[in-house]
Amino acid sequence: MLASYKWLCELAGFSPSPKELEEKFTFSGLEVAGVVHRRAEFDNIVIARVVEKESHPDSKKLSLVKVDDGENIWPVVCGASNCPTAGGTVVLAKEGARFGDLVIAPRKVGGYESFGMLCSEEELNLGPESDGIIVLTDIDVPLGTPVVNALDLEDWIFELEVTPNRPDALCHRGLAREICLLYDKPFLPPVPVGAVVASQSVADVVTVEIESTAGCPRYAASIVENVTVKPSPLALRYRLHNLGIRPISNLVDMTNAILMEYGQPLHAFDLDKLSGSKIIVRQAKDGEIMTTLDEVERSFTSEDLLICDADKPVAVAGVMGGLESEVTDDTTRILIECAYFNPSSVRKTSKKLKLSSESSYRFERGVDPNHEPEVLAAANAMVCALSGGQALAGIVDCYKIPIAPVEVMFRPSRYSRMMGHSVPSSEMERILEGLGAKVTPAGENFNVTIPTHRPDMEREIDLIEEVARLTGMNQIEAKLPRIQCHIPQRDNFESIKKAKEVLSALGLMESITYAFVPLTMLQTLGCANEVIAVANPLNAQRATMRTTLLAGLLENLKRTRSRYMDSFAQFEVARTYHPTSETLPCEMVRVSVVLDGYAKQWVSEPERRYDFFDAKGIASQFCQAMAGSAPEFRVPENTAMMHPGRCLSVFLAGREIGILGEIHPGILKELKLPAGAVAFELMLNSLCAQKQIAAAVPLSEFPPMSRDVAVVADEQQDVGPVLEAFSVAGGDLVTGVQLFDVYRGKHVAKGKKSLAFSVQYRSFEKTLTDKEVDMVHQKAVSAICDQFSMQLR
Amino acid sequence: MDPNEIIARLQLLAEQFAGELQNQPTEQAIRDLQAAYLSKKGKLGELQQSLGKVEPAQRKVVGQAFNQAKQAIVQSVSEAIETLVKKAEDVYLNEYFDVTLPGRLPLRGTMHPISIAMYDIVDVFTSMGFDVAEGPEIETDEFNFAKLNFPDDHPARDMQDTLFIEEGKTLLRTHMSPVQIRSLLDRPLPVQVVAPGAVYRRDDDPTHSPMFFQIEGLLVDKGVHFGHLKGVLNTFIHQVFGADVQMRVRPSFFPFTEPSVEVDIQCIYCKGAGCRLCSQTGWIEILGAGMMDPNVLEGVGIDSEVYSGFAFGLGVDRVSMLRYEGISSIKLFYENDPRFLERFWR
Repeated sequence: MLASYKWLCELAGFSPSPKELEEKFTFSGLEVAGVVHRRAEFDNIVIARVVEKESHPDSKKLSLVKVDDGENIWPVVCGASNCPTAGGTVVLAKEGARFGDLVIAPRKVGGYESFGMLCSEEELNLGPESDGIIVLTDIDVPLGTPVVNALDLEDWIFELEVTPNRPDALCHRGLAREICLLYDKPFLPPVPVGAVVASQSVADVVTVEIESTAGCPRYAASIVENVTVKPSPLALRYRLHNLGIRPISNLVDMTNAILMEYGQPLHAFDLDKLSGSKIIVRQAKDGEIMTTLDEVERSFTSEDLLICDADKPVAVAGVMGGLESEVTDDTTRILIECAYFNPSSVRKTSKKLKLSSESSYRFERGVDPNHEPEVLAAANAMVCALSGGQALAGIVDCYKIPIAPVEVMFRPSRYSRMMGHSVPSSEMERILEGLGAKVTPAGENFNVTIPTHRPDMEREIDLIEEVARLTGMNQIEAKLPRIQCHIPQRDNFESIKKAKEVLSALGLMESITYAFVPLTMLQTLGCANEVIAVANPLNAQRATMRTTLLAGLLENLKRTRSRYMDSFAQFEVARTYHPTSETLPCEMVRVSVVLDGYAKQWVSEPERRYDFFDAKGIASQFCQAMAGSAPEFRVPENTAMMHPGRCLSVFLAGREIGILGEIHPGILKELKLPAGAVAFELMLNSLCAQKQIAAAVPLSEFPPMSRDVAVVADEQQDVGPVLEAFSVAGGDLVTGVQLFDVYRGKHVAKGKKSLAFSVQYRSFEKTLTDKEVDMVHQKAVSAICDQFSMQLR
Repeated sequence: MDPNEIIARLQLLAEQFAGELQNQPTEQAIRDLQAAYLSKKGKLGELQQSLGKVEPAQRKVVGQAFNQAKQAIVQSVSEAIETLVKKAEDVYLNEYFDVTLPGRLPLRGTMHPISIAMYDIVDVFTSMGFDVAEGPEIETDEFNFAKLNFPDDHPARDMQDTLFIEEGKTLLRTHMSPVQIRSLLDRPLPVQVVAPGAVYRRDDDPTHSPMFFQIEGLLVDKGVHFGHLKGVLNTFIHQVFGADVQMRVRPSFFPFTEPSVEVDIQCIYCKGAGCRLCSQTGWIEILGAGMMDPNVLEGVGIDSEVYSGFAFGLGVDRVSMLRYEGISSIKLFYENDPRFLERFWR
């Protein structure tokens, strides 16, 4: 909402400092987003008179004029076709005047010296466009008077962020009322007078019928005859232009000026284009058609409210008028509509037609249903003044079930309890009355009759808010509340936090990706069987709710590679979304990891790429940290998005919690990524459900002994089971087995591999002798060799 | 045998040993040299065998000579070893070593700056006694709007551009407020929770991300008033931004609180003097808050004449951007460039 400071002062009856007003507005809930001071731009621009005009010898467009600014006579070259002859009053931009980056200085134009510029309205930003330069008539100021004074141009334009609960602040009268309240002055705005009234009355000319009282509780109208359509005076055009409204003609400008002053949308019909001397307010018939002012043919349904004449629709109620009954230059008789439409009905139609106007914006928020006669009187006065017409007597006013002001009991004690702060009763009364309410004391409390220009106020709490915002909330003392000791509840928060802490401690970077991903990505990953789509996505990239976190992590990987980085180790802990038969889908918290490229290394260490075993190791450590026990890895039945031979299912306490492996090279190829990225994805809730508390084990005080052994096994022999079998075969004395070398080549037959193990032995009871260890070791080795058909090397 | 000849040969061996000892490079070589002279079959040992052929009367003298020679050798060996060790130590202490090579960094991961800010904020509230609540990200229209006093077809709904799953029925939550409703329905009074999580709006431009993070909190109990809201927010601001950071409130509007306020903190960069970050105002808006609207309380079956409460909500992305300099765009959070992520460590 743009507001003119000058207009506000006229209505408030006094002039506070603009700076202070800005502050007061902001701290009473009308946030000022910006203020434009219109003054400095008019520096060095003055009123001047043409004293001589000659045509330019070579140019038809240019005139050579001499202008008098009261001190000097200046030669100026003017390019406007309406450049006046001697005696014409013009606006002269002198040396130093600024128009954006252009600074006026003496220069040659068309070969002749020009000391300034004669200005148009557009150049002075007094209006959106202009045909030629400003030629003033009816002005009586000394030559050389700054234009800002001569035309009274100084103003401050406030840009206010009006919240949806404050329709009263969407007009200058409402804001002026607020200003008077903020400065503790009475609000006594001027009453417009001056309508020339004809003898015939409106009711003799037109009748109004409301078929849909729900959509239109009140419809009032006035008529003005013998109007002359012409441009409005500069002052009005300037005012509207400053408020972001395009001046059109005196009649249209009048409706906009009334809108900006009273917050009441009006519509002016050309009465001669309404047939049957009748206004009917009714729901549209399904499929009914009308062309609106913006020249778009629109189709309606029975949900939409239309204003019709005897034959046809002439306006969409509260949204926009029809093209056919529009006021044109030839209009001589107008009917001015001033109605109260149901906010929700206007909103529905406006949303459906995707047509929002200053009018619909205000009706949606609620205009005052009880000020129509006052507004029509002001409109009539204004039309008569601007167009020389005569208003017919009275108005037509169809208002069958009046909307009565709401009455509310206001308890000052409740205010104190709610705000932790007390305000004197007299001050509360002053504030409520300043808002336009009628306040009647009732014991310790007040009966408050809320004015209908404040549809947001309907309960005691709304009055409490008003008192709070107008007394100033910064003075309320801050206190800490008492919080009762209670059983803590933290939902999944702690386990998610721990998962992030563990994975970042394990060397991975946490990533956060969008929950919506391209459907194609899920299809590539084979995770698009059952998905949830966003009904109104921003674009196809953000159209489908993810079913796996790998979608986002692989996008990150792609982006990382495209930015010339070849080391990627990221995780994400977030939700995936899956359809159910219930209203709400199923949301699962998952933990995913993707590793690719080079593992970090020191200067002289050999390069190493992340591989399957990094993923497996991190998954093990992660489960251990989260659940207190190591996971079990099994060969999966369905390898889904993973390389079929490099994939494992992750189990914890016998329950499958996720999958791990090298991402299927086919998928990576489709994503234009090189093969080799590894990943895992686990269900956090399943993981945390298996939580075990850590327990300490006895520690041996005796020294360990170790034995190495090399065996030859089949190339296809898995080593995992061999390692496990060692512990069994070696009994309690085995404390660790490591595979430290795998060798193929000389002295090892084709199709075989040599595996070198180091086995640690240690007793809880004594220092073991070589002999004892040798015996146990040999027995274990031969048992293993038998079990897996391996030969000692 | 002539004892003098034996002694002369012994002296010769001693000299020979002393000469050889000079050039031994390692401790082991010295010990080997010692063994070559002193072991049974060593050079002195061989010579000593001739002791038996000496007149018994003179054996004592010769024997003493042997003992002296041996002691001298042992002595000089230990001296030589000591010298060698000392020399090695000197070399170790004086040798060239490049301290400018980078440290061997233990692998460390990072936490996302949004998570870090979120945990820092939640920690403040949980320390004050608040619980933590979660809720679905795909919500019903009822919980996201209707129960929060957003009437159907009310312009307040335009304040939050919504991504729908099924228009009018389910949607991606536009704020964390539905979790407030769920907490009030699920938990016994008094309720004191903060709800951190992802929220969604149909906005995508340089300053808006369609997904971002919010923390909302509420306290509903008997006798809770606006001063308490200010007390809790003041504490939060002091803990997160610094004890000297001032706060102020401006009246505003949210459908679910009444009265509603927006809360500004003094600009943490210019300390209120005015800079580019705070658009020269000296203040930065960081959260919205207010007393819970009686309609909201009544809607979850709480008697608003007996209980009152406050609620607040803040953008975690915004707090993170205020805390870490140089985050020029909210979009950086969701690109997950490793060079960006590696800067942050909780």
